Amino acid sequence: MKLAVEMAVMELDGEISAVAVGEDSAKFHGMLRLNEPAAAIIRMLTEDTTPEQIHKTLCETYADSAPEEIAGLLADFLAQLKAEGLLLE
Amino acid sequence: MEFKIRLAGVNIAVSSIYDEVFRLCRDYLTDGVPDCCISPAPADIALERVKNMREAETEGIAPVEYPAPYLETLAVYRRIAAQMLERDTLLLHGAAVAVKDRAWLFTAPSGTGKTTHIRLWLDQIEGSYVVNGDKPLIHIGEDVTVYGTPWAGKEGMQKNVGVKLCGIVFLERGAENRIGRTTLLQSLPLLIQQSYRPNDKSGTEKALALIGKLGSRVPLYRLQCNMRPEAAWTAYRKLSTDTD
Repeated sequence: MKLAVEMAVMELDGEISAVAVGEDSAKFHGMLRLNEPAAAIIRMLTEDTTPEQIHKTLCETYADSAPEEIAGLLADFLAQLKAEGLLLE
Repeated sequence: MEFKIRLAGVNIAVSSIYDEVFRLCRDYLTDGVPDCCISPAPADIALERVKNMREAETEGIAPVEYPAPYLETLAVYRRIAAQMLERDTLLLHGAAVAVKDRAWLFTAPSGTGKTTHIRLWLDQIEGSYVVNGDKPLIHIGEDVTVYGTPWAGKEGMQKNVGVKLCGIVFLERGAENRIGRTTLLQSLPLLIQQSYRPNDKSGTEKALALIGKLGSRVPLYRLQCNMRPEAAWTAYRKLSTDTD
């Protein structure tokens, strides 16, 4: 899976946002407000990957969190992206 | 046709296919040494035609078949806007109005009433003038300066000046006139939407970084206003007092 649109990420006062790039902004007009793990997921999804690979990377980065909790948050976020039409599977 | 213009302190050599760009830019001609060159190709004109068609489709309006010379003027400004990003200068869709040496930029989606509002300023506020009524350039340095450009919308309201930008105002229609400060995070989506962003990721990231810098250096306001003369006074009183 990967993002259906190319996205640029900006960080401002600790808030992370992502917007579609160029012609892709016609497909997605809005702006995603992201926390740090979500921004990491967006960055990973710029290239073809799998939920398992993303989960593995997140578990390494956020070793203090339970893998099950990360899996739940990841599944929710991927579902949101899918609902927005932002995910190619 | 080849000529040189000076925009936002940058000398630009333009090599155009049609004369319309030269006529549009006549207030901005210079003899200075060019800092960069713009030379639109027929493919740029074709791209502008496609973009116009797509925009009409998105807005649900009938597409207009614009002539190539006009489309070339758009292509030239798109290229200039891309070059300007490298010089910490951003194209922002909005109407910049000034009184003496202080300017404020009113921005909102098309059709909200930016032009109507700044006309109220021209009628009501002595000494007010339009820096650019549609697509000014904004240099974000130690100071933030808004510059007039030839690309000034249907009304062509513009002046070849650079004026200190003292605020950005997000304009909304309202029954009553009301103005207050807003935060960058609240206004970021509209600020991004109203800014020129290139087609590539690194250019977009550069534009986003500049937008962030702009929003943190200039006060941001939300204005709800009607079309009565008091609207201009409500805005001017608040903006000029905050700037003093």
